Amino acid sequence: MIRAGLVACAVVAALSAALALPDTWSWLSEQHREAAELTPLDRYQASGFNNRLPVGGFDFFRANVRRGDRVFVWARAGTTVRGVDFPTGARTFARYYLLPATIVEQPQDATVVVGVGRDPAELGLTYKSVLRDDGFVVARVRDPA
Amino acid sequence: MTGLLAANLLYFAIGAALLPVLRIARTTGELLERLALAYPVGVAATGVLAAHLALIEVPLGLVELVLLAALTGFLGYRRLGSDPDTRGLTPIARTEPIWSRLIGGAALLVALVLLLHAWRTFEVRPLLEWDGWAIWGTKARALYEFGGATGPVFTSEAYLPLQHPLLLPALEATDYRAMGVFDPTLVHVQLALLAVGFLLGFVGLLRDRVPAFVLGPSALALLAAEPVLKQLSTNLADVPLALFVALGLVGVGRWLAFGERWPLVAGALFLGAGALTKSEGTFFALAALLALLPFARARLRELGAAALAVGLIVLPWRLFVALHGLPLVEYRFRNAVSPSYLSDHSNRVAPAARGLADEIFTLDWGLLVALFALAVALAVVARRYEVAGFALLWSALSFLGLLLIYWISVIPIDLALVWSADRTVVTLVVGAAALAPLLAGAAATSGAARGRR
Repeated sequence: MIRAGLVACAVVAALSAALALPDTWSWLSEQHREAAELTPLDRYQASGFNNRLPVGGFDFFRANVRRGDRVFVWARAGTTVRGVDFPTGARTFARYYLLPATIVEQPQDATVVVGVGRDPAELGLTYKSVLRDDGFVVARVRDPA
Repeated sequence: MTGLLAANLLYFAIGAALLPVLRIARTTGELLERLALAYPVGVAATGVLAAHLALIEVPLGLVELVLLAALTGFLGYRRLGSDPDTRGLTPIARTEPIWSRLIGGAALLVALVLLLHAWRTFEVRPLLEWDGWAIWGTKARALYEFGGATGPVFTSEAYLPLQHPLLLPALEATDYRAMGVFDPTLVHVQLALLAVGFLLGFVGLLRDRVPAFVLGPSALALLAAEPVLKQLSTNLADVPLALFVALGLVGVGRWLAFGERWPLVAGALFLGAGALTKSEGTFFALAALLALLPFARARLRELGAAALAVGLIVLPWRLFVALHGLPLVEYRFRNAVSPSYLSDHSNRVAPAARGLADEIFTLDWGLLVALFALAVALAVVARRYEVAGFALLWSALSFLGLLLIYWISVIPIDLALVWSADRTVVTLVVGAAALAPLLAGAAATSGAARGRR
């Protein structure tokens, strides 16, 4: 009885593996095929592109913020692929993509305001410098401490 | 890649040294016999240490790992007896027929090939899924950039959610330091290595107690289940949590079934690592300890020591959460004991139960649930009531716990289920399925004993 039970366990386990393995293997193969062709830069930017976030603009921001900067993200209305509103999506991506600069919730706490489809001038802050690139703006309030 | 592999070799070395330090292996013979546990023990212990050190701004890199390996190696060498005896080998390991070993070996070989295939994919697959970069990738990168967890990324509400513990990001940050660069794609090899570690730990904990023809196919069935490697590739912590908790369950389950002390030590370490991987890990670990309680009443001191060890592993993180007042925005635990709140939100229970059941009883898992049910029935037939009871009670407590979390969550129930139900059930399914070969092994031992009589 016990021996038959052990054999049954082995058979069910083997069947389970046989059922699942082809799909898992194919999925891994497909993912490898798609990803192997990407360049290192593509891979770096993929998290943004995959969620339809404007990665080019964030690269512009990344080039103009630095370690120690506290960044306020001032973004246009809209939605992202995940159903969250665009300002939240843009802020979330900035948290990841702009490190080692960090994000703040209030513009008055910021050393830099980055605008995505919105002009930081609307916030009424005084800026030390303003850089623009195709709808994206980096407005520096002060240098990081 | 070289740095990442060097770090993982050091995790193995640290784990091998910890086996005698933790009395998982007392002699050279036992150390060799249980060497498969070295890598998962090393990853778990180093991950726990890295997560704790991050709280006080002490980063781990290759130099620190070498020093740690040297220190643990010295302690392990001093602790290790020179007895080459292999008395730990059980009748199953000694009398295993060749056909059984062949089946088990072939299945493990296929599992290894699958993991190599996963490695090849993980090595190039970028960080795509939202929570993978928005939560876990951000924490790992911040730990790498800042060396610790006291900055705004871990304490400011601009970085919600903040309640997730740090084992996985701390491990990845250690890997980045070992590689000398932030590479959010290549670091996914660490995730594949966690799965390799699970396979090694699973086999290391069970190979002398479970017939190979059951153990090999069970390990393969677990790793082949589509959600395991698919979700692991996303860099979310749910599968790493499931792998640690599953090893913990197997460890404490073996202690319960066979009375040896060393698997309890390993089990407590893995449950602690699970508790430090994701918030609900504490709850799964607590469920395991509670499920042991009715069946281990004669061994409460050992069980208490294991519970204390799990508690001590989690304590620094809980203190950090309390000291910084980190909010838990999705639910409040006090609502779980508020009859009026539960009553007012009772309309969430049925859809939550249905949603969770849908995710558990899907063929995406292959036949893992059927395997668990069959193994429980076998253990009951063999009168191994204690281990069958433990497995059933842990599963029931885990399911009810998940249900309670969805009950008290402030997120609309449909949205909460769509966002997370497929991930939150992973630990429940993988943990239960991982207990299946242990249950079968306990039944086999009972059958062998009766056969001899």
